[in-house]
Amino acid sequence: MASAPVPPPHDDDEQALLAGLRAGSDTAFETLVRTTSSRLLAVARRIVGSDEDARDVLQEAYASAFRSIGRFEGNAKLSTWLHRIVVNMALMRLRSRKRKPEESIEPLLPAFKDDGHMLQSAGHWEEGADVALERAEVRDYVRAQIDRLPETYRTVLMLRDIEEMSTNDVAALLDTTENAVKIRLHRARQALRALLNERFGTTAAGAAQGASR
Amino acid sequence: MNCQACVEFILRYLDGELPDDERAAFEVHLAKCPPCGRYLEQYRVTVTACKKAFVAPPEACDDVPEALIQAILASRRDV
Repeated sequence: MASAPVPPPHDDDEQALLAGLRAGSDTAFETLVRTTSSRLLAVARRIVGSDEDARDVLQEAYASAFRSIGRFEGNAKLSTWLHRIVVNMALMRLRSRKRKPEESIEPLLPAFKDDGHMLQSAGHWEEGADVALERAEVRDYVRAQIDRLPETYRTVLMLRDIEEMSTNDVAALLDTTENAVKIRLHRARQALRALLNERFGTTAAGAAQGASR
Repeated sequence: MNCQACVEFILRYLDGELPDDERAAFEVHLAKCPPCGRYLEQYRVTVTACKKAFVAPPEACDDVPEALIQAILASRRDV
């Protein structure tokens, strides 16, 4: 996750901050916003894609948090609680958009013969594909491929692999089962591998597999 | 174990969720099937790519615009 320019409060500070929030202290609310908003804006931007929507999501999320701070029981860290609210608001924003009909992910998944062998076995990737990820241009490419995934799969990939939320938390947010989350995540990663194969595949088999998809 | 089962097991293998016997069968298959070995490695690189793709360089980590902070704080008055 992107790092926040302002470090989050330590435990003792967090307890003091929470007490201030519960007491309705203006200073406490301002501290909360100033120490958490940078990281949370980045979270919203990653999920909804645009700066404008991300700013709206952030405002809505804090408004929601301000309304419900009295019900925050302190079982989780404030930052974790806020992260969840932002993710929830960002998902609601995604759902409210007019989306094009979702394409099937099947063409991006490996196909198998009757005997269980891959129809097109995995070819080679260029040396140092992982090192190439240090380049901004390659990271841009990867983000563009993630955006090509069908929305339900992209969402699970974002929440599990990028926001690093637990399977249980993602299942609760998406109102589904943990097993369904695992299946979607596995398919999303497989589909993304096929898309990255278009760039990193070097052998005839690898290139053909990518090009045909 | 065949390639199809091997590929289906990857997520649970990487999460350490395969029972001992299935993990052993998975690893035996990998040892004798280079394409599945490549597939597993590419799957791993894909997961790494996801994580790295969204790591903003330090210079891109801008502060939140002051106007947005003020708008958020002002919204509290409406709550």
